[in-house]
Amino acid sequence: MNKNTGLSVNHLPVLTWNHIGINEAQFPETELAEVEFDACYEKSGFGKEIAEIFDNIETGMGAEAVAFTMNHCTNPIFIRVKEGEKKVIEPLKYTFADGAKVCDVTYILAEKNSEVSVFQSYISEDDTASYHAGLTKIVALEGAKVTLIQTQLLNDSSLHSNDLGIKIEDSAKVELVQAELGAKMDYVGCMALLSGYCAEFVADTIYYGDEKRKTDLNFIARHTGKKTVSNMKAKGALFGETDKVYRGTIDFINGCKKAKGDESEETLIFSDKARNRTIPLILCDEEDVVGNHAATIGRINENRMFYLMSRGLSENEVKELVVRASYESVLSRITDEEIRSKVDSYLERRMIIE
Amino acid sequence: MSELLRVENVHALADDKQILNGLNLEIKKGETHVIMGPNGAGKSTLDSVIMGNPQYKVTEGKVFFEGEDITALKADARARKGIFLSFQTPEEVPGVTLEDFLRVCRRNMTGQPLKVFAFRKELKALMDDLDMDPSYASRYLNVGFSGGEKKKSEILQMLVLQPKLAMLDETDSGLDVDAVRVVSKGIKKFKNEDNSLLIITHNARILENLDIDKVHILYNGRIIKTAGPELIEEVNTNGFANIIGKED
Repeated sequence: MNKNTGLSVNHLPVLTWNHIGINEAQFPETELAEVEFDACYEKSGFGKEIAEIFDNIETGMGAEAVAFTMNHCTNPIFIRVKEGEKKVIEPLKYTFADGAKVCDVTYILAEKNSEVSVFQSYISEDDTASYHAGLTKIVALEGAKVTLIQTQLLNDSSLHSNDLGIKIEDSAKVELVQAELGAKMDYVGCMALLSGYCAEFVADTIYYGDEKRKTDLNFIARHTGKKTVSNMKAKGALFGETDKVYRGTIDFINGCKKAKGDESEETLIFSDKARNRTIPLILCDEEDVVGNHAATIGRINENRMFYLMSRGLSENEVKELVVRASYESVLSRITDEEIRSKVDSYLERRMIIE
Repeated sequence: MSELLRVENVHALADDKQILNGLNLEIKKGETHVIMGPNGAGKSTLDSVIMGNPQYKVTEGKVFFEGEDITALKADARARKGIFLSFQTPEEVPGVTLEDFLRVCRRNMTGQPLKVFAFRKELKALMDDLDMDPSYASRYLNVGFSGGEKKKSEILQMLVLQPKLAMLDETDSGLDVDAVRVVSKGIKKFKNEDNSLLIITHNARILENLDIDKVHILYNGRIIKTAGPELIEEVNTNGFANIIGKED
């Protein structure tokens, strides 16, 4: 770690030109009491073998972020869903006030043929500068289904990092649904390892950038298992002088025959001063695979704008409608009424389109 | 009858290409007008210019609606005054259901809050009239709709928004016989003595149930002939060659 620049995070799996500035990012550290994470493990009842599986899972933000969050963990959560069980975990709601600093570590183990749904939300309750570093690791064993829904509405002075590492075994499926809408620095990294036969990973992420806020996203789907399927989508809107980076990598490792990976990004840009950098990457060390990437970046298509305006909506109403429409696939998954209403009023408050 | 729309000597460009060349047209309240003409004559451009599509630049002339000069108004302002265009190729908008979209548009037009259940009931009845499966109301606007369903969705929007002037741009193109009949029924349902229609079509079938007041032949960006409904028959029998020949 470098105390001057913070944690080195969100590394692009293959380096590109340095001057573009997207090979990696820096996320600040904060002063927090150090803890021995092993002591947390002991209480978890996961046992040494399972602990080792979790320890070996790589994450999207990388080793420095993992070490920092674990060494300063304030909220360890261990979720284990036994074979064949179906569970909806009580929502994990983190509220931030009085400059709160939270490093939460959540480990989810879904045993054979189990199903679990986990919901995490991070919301500011005042205007003070808070710090959040989250680490979530998921192991989905054979035939398991895991759904993780995350919402983040931190205020403009708060820092937020959300690091994920996921391992998906035979015929298991992990679905990640994220609404990353707030924070001065909104940094997300996700690495999904599709190691089992027919393992499946789906990610649907929305983001919102305005003023001088920074959003830095790093998604990697690494296919090692045969007939594995990944589909990563990111959608967002950029206003003001915001700065956003999206790295999306599908990594086909030799031997992952008949694997299929899709990634797409839709970015609506509403300001000449907003900065957008998108790097879709498909790494291919296996011939028998299908990889697709698509990126739509820019303003609202003029034909669509005219069509919607011809129904009586003003230009700004069309913009708001189109942004909300692009968020719908994620928003519709937020079933917790309290959080959904906070998300709606957050967007209503922020989205003043001029 | 009083004047609803007046297009006065309009010249318009698209991508710096002159499409309309001094076009004049007047539609009174309650009238139904039909525009015919060969491909590339400027028919769809005329609709777009009346609706206020910014991709077309009016370089000369004016458009008046209920006596007011609307040439500089944007499309949304024109829509709120009561102008509607049924698009030849309607846009798909993922994430917005047909019902939600229509509710927002109706509320926007009237400025009045809507009662959700009453609106849903009204929508269901209109969809029944158009032989539309009610499940389309909860589907994203035009996404995955067949060509025919898209056209029905346009007519549904017209019926919900109740404009003073509805312009139908080849609403019948790509429709089978049954669908044309259904759409035609929808248009007849809309039409009353206070509102007006401007229909662009190549197909006489869609006009069968309507009382046509005037038929215009558009060629080279101008209206070169105006007559009664008998002109439709003449075009269907002889094509445009005779009429255009006289012009050339």
